Amino acid sequence: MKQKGDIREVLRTLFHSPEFWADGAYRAKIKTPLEFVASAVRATGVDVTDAMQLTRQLNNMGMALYGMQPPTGYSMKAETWVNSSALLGRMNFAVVLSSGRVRGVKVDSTQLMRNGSPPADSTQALAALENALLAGDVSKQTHDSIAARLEDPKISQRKVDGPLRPADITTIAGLLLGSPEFQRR
Amino acid sequence: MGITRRIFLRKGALAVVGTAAVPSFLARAAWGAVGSNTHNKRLVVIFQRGAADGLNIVVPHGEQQYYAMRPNINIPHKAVLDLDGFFGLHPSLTPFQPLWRQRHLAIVHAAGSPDTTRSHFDAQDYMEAGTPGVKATEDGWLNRCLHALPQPSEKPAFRAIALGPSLPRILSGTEPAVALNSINDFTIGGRSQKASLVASTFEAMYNHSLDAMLHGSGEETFDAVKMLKSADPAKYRAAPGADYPRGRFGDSLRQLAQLIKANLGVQVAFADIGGWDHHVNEGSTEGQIANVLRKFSESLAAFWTDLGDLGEDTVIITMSEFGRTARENGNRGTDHGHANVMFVLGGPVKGGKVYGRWPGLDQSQLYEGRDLALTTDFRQVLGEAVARHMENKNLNEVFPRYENQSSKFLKLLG
Repeated sequence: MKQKGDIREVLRTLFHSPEFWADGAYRAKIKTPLEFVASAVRATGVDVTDAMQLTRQLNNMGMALYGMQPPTGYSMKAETWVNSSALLGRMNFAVVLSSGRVRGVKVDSTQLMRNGSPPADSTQALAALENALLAGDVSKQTHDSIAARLEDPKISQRKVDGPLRPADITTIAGLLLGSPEFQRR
Repeated sequence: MGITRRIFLRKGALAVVGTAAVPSFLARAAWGAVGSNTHNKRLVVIFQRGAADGLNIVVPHGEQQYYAMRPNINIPHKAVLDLDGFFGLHPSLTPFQPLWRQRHLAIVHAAGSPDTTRSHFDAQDYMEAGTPGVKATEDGWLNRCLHALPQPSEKPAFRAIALGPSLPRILSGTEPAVALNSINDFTIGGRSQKASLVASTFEAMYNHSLDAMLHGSGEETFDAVKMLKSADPAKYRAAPGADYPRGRFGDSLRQLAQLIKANLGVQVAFADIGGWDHHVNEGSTEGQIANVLRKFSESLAAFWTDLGDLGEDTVIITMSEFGRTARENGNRGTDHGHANVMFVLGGPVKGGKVYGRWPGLDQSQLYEGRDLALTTDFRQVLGEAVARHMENKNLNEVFPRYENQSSKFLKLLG
């Protein structure tokens, strides 16, 4: 109030407030479907040539782009966006996006790995993707759940006596994007 | 948590439901063991979004004023399907005739929300919240109706369902409710080879998550997916004679019938149908209103046939946010009005009768000089279903700030 509505000062105060940096504020909010889809696209660095399919995905998650008719706008509350069908929508989107099954969206595995070539070792791939998609801040529960399945031939893509092949990083990426951590901001 | 009797019963019931060889009545009995008898009572709410023209749906053909006010879009005497000499159905509602004759179908005319708004959004919001005129209500009455029911010993994942991509206002609230667009899509990982692996990994993540909100919701989700898979509703084909028309509303009701027949414990359900906002070229016996009414009635009649003996414990109520002007406008359509018509279909319904007081269509009888006046508050109709069918007597919580005394009920339920 003292700054006569100078937005710069207001934001400066906000950003320097202890509440802003409090542990409790970290990943305190559930992403809306739009935030979820946008952050997944950004985190994976996929190449979007046609955004129509992404907006269609938003319709399925109940948040049609610019489609909220009442002037109140879309809810920012977690309860609105956390329900069975919404969670299913998110997990399924995570899987189809990272595996390149959304039309108009191209996935490049070197992009996913932040310009590194995909490691052949699944454990290394998981660690690298945790860093790339969630800034390395992944709960033990999520990490262990994925790690426990890395040796599954469907993910390691390895046959017992076959040659070593690159790990299935798109599936690992999909699992991370659908994890509880990625639903928060 | 150890294995309680409750869990044992639940798993036992699931096992029975999952066995295709067991006759459906036995599977049903297994579910009956899970909760009280009220579990078998079902309330299905249908919303006609866009303000349906009640005067051309249940036509007051005994009213000269009706024909005077609608020279181009009236339903002629000879086309009306007469009900009682004064009211008659639009000819597209032929599928309703047998239901009326069997006294399963009742009609409440001049009913709706008393709020004066003519905004679709406000009016729908008020009707779904169950609190006309109050914007601050955060949850929907259909959710509150479960909330106040005697606590069941078990909460099935599909206790409350909405057919559609997102949870509508009417079902939002503290009771878990599932929005379901398509039974086939209610899986994790789709049909890919890795689907089961992906699903089990997600499940492990969410089950072990310390994130209370996502953990809880995740658990519900995986339970629901598994229940749906084991109950396999897709195997419940539509009963002979249940001919659902093509389109979203028919699909919604067909899938709802599958979920009910698969014994997933559905207590309340919601589906909606759009396409009623006929400002221009409404049509009469043919045209826009005739087309949407055909889909509406064919879908509901198919749903009723499909439910078979399950219809005995089911009450279906239709509503729309407001009616339309008594007079036609300059574009052979009608504009936003006030009172409307509601259909009530079900086993316990005392049908074959038009309920409610008819206010008349003379100029002096019209609301604000232009619309059908309201003589029955929609909460009176819903309140009767909630209290007498669902056996939730706590109407003050379901419809707050409304005097909903049982003495005022229309007594349309037997």
